[in-house]
This record gives sequence, C-alpha cells and structure tokens, in this order.
Amino acid sequence: MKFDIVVVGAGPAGSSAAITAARGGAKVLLLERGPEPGSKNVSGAMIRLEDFSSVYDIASIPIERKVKNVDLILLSNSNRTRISVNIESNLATVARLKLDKWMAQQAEKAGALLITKTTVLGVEREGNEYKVETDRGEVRADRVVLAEGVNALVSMKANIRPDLTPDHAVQTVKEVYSLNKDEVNKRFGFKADDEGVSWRILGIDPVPYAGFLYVYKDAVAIGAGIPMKILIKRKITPYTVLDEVKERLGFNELVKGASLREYSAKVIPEYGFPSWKACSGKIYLAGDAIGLVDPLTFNGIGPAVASGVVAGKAALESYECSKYESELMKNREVRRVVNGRPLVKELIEEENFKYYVKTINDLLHGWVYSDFSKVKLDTSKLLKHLLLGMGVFKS
Amino acid sequence: MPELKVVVSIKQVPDVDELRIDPVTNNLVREGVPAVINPPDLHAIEEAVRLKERYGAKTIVITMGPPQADSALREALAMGIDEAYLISDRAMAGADTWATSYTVSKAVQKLGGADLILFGRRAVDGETEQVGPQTGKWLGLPVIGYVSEIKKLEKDKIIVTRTTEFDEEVIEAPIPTVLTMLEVANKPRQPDILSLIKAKTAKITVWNKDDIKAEPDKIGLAGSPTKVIKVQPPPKTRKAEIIDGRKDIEKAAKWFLDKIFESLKEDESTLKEYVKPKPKVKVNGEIWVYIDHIGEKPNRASFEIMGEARRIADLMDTSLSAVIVGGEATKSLIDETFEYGADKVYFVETKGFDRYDNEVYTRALATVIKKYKPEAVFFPGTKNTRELASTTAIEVNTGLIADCTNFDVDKGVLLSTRPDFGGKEMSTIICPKHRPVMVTVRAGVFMPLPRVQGRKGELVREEIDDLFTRLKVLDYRVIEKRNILAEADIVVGVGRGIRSPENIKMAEELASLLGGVVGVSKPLADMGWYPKERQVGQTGTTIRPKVYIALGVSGAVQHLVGILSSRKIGAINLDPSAPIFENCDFGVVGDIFEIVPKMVELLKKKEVS
Repeated sequence: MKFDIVVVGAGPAGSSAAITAARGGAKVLLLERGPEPGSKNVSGAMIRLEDFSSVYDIASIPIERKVKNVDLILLSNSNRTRISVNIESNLATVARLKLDKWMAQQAEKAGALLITKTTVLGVEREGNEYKVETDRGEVRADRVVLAEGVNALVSMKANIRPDLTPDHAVQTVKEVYSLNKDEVNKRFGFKADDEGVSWRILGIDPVPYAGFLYVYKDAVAIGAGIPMKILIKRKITPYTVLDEVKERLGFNELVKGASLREYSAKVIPEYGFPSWKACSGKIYLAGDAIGLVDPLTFNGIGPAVASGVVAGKAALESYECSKYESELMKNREVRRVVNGRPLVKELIEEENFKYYVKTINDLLHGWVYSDFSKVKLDTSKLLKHLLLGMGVFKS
Repeated sequence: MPELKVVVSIKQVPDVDELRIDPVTNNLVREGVPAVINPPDLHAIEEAVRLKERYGAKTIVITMGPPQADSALREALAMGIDEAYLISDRAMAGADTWATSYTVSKAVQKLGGADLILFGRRAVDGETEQVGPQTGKWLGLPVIGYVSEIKKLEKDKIIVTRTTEFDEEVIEAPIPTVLTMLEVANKPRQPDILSLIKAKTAKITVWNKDDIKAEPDKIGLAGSPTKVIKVQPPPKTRKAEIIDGRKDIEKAAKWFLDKIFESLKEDESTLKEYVKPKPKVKVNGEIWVYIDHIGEKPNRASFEIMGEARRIADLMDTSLSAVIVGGEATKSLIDETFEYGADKVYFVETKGFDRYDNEVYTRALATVIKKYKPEAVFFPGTKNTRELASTTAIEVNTGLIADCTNFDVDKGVLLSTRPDFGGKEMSTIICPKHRPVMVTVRAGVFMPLPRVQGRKGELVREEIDDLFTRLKVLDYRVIEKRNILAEADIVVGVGRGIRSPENIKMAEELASLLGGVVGVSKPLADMGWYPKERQVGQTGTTIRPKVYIALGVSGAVQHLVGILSSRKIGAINLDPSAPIFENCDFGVVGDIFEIVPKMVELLKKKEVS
C-alpha cells in the first residue's frame, strides 16, 4: 500500500507533522509502536500552551494543572536559595498519555491514518519511493518523517544520524508519587483543583545536576538530570543524586503517605541538529530524534511540536534537504535550542556549573547579610557566558 | 449450501495488564488505562476467521458498548472478520448480564440470525461467563459453553469438543447454535499492517436501541434485574511476617519450610461449630442450593456452599433446601445432602440423564423453581453449573450474580459481594425485584457444615417428563490429567527473578519434594520459558492452593489476582520493596539461588517435616 507520507512515531513531533501534512491534503500514515500514542512515554511534563496553538485546537487540550508559580531553587553545599517566579498562566503540567493521545486524535481528525502496535524496523529507498519495513509487513511512501524519539534506531540504521555519545547526553530519572487531589491541594496550598506549581532545581552536591518537580492533578513528579559523562566519571547512579535532591528539599515529608506510582529514566540529548543532519533525500527528522530538547529546562515538547510542523510542511511540499534544514533554523523554538547549546555545553562543565550555583547562592546570601566577602566573581567567565547566552558568539 | 453466517460477539475491556491500584485510596485506577478487546474474545474471533477459511463463511463481529468500542471492532476486522456492528445507546449503559444478553440477542435477530454465534469464554473484567449462554437462551438456540475444538461443521450440524474441569465431551448440535470458546482452541493471529490499515477505514454500522427493536425496559441499568449498590477495594486479609535471609541462609530456609508445613497442617476442611444467627427478616421462599455432580459423584463445592446458605437461610428465617437434578444414579446423593445440612431435598428426576445436559437440566431446574418459588438459589461456580445457572436465569426471568465470595442480609434482601477485575475491586450486588435471587459461588471460599451421619430431612420428588435435548453426546471421557495448577495443594510460582529458563529446574525440584507443582508468572510464559497453561495470574490460571510459594516473583497486580484465593502465600525475593511482600503471609528477603537449594538440601536430608 502506498502513502504520500509515512510518519514514524506518534509523539508530539510525529503528530504535529502528521496533522500539518494531512491538512495540506496529503495521504498520511502515522505509525506508533505502543498500544496507544503516549503509552511508551513517561507520565508527564510541563508545557507552554502557545507551543500548541499554531496547529492544535487548544480549547480541548488535556492539562493537569495550570502552573502559577515556577520556583527556582539553587542548592550549594551549605546554602539554599529559592526564587519564586509568578507567571501568567500559559504554562501547564500535562500527563503525556493523555496529551499524546489528544494530539494523535487531532491528527486523525485532520485525515491522517493512525496505526498503533506497529514498530518500524527500517526505511529504504527504492526508486522514487521509500519502503517502510515494519514488524507487520511493509508499506510504501513518497516521503517519510522520522519522529522516533531520542533512541532513533531507524534514523541511525539509515545512517542519517550517529548514536548519541555520553559527552552529549543528560541522564534523567523521574519518580511519580500518587496522592489524591485534595491532599495535593492541601500540601501545596492550592486554592483550586487546576492550580499548580513547578520547581526548577540546580544543585552541585554530590555532582552538578538539574532537578525538577511537577505537580499533577493527583500526583507529584520529581526528577533530576545529570550529564552522562559526570555520572560515568564519578561512578555514581542518577538515583543517588535524586535521593540527595529529595533529602535536601524535604520531599519525603511532602509526599508522606503517598506511594511510588512509577519511576522512569530518559536520556536527554544536548547535541544534534545542526551538527547532525536532519534530512536525507525525502526523509525528514524531527523532535528528540535530532536532539531538539532544551537540556536545562528539559523542554522537549515545544521544540518537538515546532520541528514536527516544519517536517510536516517539508514532507507535504517535498522540500530539498537544504530547504528543510534552513526552515528548521528559521524556527524560533528550534533556534532557541540550537543557540542555547554552546552555553549549555559550557554550563554543564562541572566546574562552571558549580561556580554558578555557588556564586548565585553566595551573592544572594551576601545580599541578605550585607556581606559579599565570600563572593568570588570571575568576570571573564561571566562575560563569556553572558555573550553566549545572548547568542552573540557561537562557542 | 447457502453461505454459512458466523457472528462473533465481543466486549471491550480495560487492559488488565495496565490496571493499577491507587496506593492511597486502594481504588482501581481506570483513568488512562488503554481499552483492548477482552483477550478471551480474540479466540472467538480467530475461530470465526478459521471457519471462514475452512468452510467459506460470512463473518460478522458485534459489540455492545460506547462509541470508543469502535476500535475493538476494527481490530476484529483486521484479523479477518468481514463486517462490524456497534450496538451503542446511552440507554444501554449499566446493563447486567441479563440485559446485555437480551441486547445482543436483539442485535443478532436484527442481523437476520446466524448459523453460529461465538463468544469468548468469559470477560476478564466481570468474569461472569454468562452472556454467551444467556444470549443463546434468549434466541432459543442450543448452547455449548467451553468449546475446546470445533471438530466438524456440516450442512445442518456442528460437532465440537466441550471441556470442563472434570470431563470432556464430543457434542453434536444442530445449527444454528451458540458456542463459547476456550482459550486453548486456537492462537489468535496478529494482523499485518495492510489489514490494520484496511480495518481502520472500514465501515462500521452503528445501531441504537430502536434499530434493534429492543424494549426499553429490558436494556441498560433500568432493565437489569441486578443492581450494584457498592463498590469498594478488597479487604486486606494477610499480615505478612518477613525475615531477612541474606545472612543466615540455612536459618531462613528452615524457617520458610517450617512455615510451609505449618500452613499445610492447618486443616480447615469443615466448620468446627455452627452458631445459628438471629433472623433479620422473614421470607416466604426457601434458600436452595444446587448440588453439582458428575453422575453419582457429588462436587464437594456444593456442600461448602450449603454451609454458607445455611447461615443465609437462618438470617432470613427460612429453610435450607437442596436441589438434585439427575437420573437414577444420582439418587445416591440424596442421603449425603441431608447429612451436610439440608432440611429438604428436591430430587428432580431426569431419566436417562445422570450427567449434565444444558437443555434437560435447565428445563428441570426451571420447572421446580417456577413451582416452588424459592427466595434464592445458590450454585457452586463450576463450568457446568455456571452455564446452567445462566440459562436457567433467563428461563425463570431473574437476575444472576456470578462468582460471589461473601453474603449478607440487609433490609430484607440478600447482599452478594463479588470480585471484579479478578479481585482488584469488590462489588456488592442485589436483585431487588426478581425472585429467586440466583448466585454462583466461588469454590474454596466457604466451608461445609460438619457432616452428621444418618441425618434425614424431607424429600420432595419431581419427575420431569418430555425430556428433550438438541445436544447429542458422541463421546465422553473423564479428564485424568486435569488442570493440575488449579487443583494443586502446593504451587511453587516462579517469576523473572529466576533469570533463565534452565533455572526453573530448581523450582521443579522443590515442588516435587513438597508434592506440589510449578507455575510461572506472565512474563515467563510470554517468553516461552514455560508452557502457557502453567501461567498463574489473571490471564492465566487462578489458583487456590493451601500454600503458594513465590520465588523471585515481584507481584504485579495481574499475578496477585491469580493467587488471591491461596490459603497461605510465602515469598522469597531479593528486593525488599517487591509488592509480593505486602501480599503474602510469610516472606524471606533473600536470594532464591541460595535459599531454594538450601531448602532442597534440607528436604532431601529430611531434616524438616
């Protein structure tokens, strides 16, 4: 059977590509290996609603809670600083199973055909078309979108991108604890069932890490990400780090009586496009498969949707690779990840990371006590990173 | 020969592998759990497709359910079924098996009938095993439940093998007929991608209650004779005693063995003493217990149930009666039935039918129920009696509550409590308006009253004439090798902790020394490490041994459900946080590769007994 476009993976990138291509009138097949979209995913995340509004009808978006505050918590060996940022409610926590299902349903409504429980094994060019090999037999397509996630086996098999090395990966672990809705409201001081909070945690003990906490309707998720090479070098497991985070934050007290609903681990790429190709012939890669995740905030859904839309359009209009890649680079979300990488690369160097967490902590504590004697400013470092952060120069 | 028409009736259920219990509220979490075709129904679909391949047939799949059930129908189409019908109407929601089977029968009539109507043996959510036989009864067709093989299909008849716990019969029946398929009948196929794509865009006809001309007072919650009045988490009944066996292996092995032997000694085969409760209400009808038997051999479960029915009869201030349906040979059951506590025995003679025949026995039982109007009828939950109770309930127009494990009387009515989703949730059900209340009771839950030799009571004889059946038994045999897992007193369960298939030998050795059998968890059976029929769990065999010994079993809900009825559960696992430890009676935190060989050694030296 022949399709105009086969999209591999019904996650945020895949469904966004499928919806875009289907709306343009293409005959689209969307393939998902899990029993349902989102079922191969860990339970939740935080999203920005505006990331979805360009392609999805967000009136029906299934969110868990609106995030009213984001707390930034810096943990150095001795000090702890917490900055609470009150925000307009365009941030929300979501359950991935529901969100991904909803996106795929919208793609189906637009005319894409979704087939689940089917694993794509490889994509091969045959003449002017592609043979998409699955565990249930083959289908053919003129163009292919690979939105298969970070463990991009098909893309690697087709030699479009290399495997991710430990130097370029952050290992995250996450645990989700069940509570009931009322308990969640009580413990976090929420006045309404849809009110929520999330925490961003930066710490340096025992190793530098970035942690997070999301509050869902009836559960709390906590997690931490540590650069893979630090884990290897220091021979430490990510769970040791997570336990430390929980200890420092008094998390166990916060979820007392709740029990562990799920735990999961995920690799977050902080390398990829444009260092990797995002395209080969008429195969377009999007989302995690080309490393489009912000490794500091762990926001991968926004860039996935954005790059998925570009890939969908590319497949629809049969872009040449150079055009696809330049369109990707024009995208604000994609650019944000790409431009952030040099800074991130610097920041996740153990010494730099430690320096910042410690310095900011010292600065703020110094400000409180009117004593800045402990603060050691390395102006050249600061300047370099500031410039990197502003995108003035590229590493 | 006009084209054969085969209808498969299926149900969409939550994926039991994905179900979990909320740790705080203990309630079943349904949200976010994917819906799938009830796994046993896949075998009915497969059988229909095979009939099509063998004989040429038009195959149709139907389901009653919400609009989302569409996806289950498409899956059936992908497997090779030709047409699909969704019977969907808000008014149908909340239907019990009576109203569901009525609705399905109306849909089949709307389809213009069928030559064969296939069902899965049971649905994994409610596990009633009623809808298939009851649909047959509504349609006035012969019913053959528990079919393990369709041997032959001819112009106007079908020959099948029917397999119960105790026997196997080759039955010939005229078509049209209704069959419920056992999982052993076949292996459902995996559709290829082109079939999936085709099914995805296939037309599905949706019918509402008016389309199938269903009477509004016979469908949905309103039309259901039984009502669920309470749903609650199952009570926690086990208090685990856990020791650390990582240091002193020998001590742990000895302790564990002692615990096993202790559990075996606790013989609770009969109630020691029966204390008559104060009546809560006075009813006119009697409480009946149906005595199940294979010829002259009684099924002990019938007497267990009499123990509980006695209590209910006393609570309702009425007498306890037993019903025996059968031929000459079954007369010998009468005395024993009195000795186990029946005040009255109805002996309903069906000359020439010593063994169960659905049509003859349904007619016999329905005749006496209509004549004597009991308040309630209790059935032991064997395959034969579940089928009999199903068809009889339709014949006498009343509700049937399946697989109950607890009873009480409140506000003058019988409260029956039963496990759903294999025990993850308990529902309490009443039958407010229809009489008798009919219930099937899980075996092994209740205990018989002490047997009193020579005890007598009133005997009422009824003879059923005009015996008629469309089922012809061509061959019959008692099963020698029965489901040993379901009947074993000791089951040694093996989970993923065993690491490799070769290591299962270690468990086999332990089992054989203890006189038990080996069962495995789902992942092991799925990987082909051990035969599928030895899988313990909700989608495998539900066991009720005196002792279940879990080796390296983590305790997934799926598995826990299957071992729920074990009298005692012992566990050995290296992971102290494994859920099995919260669901066992005694446990050792330790390495099975250290402790089990030590237990084997101790048993061989006969240092324990």
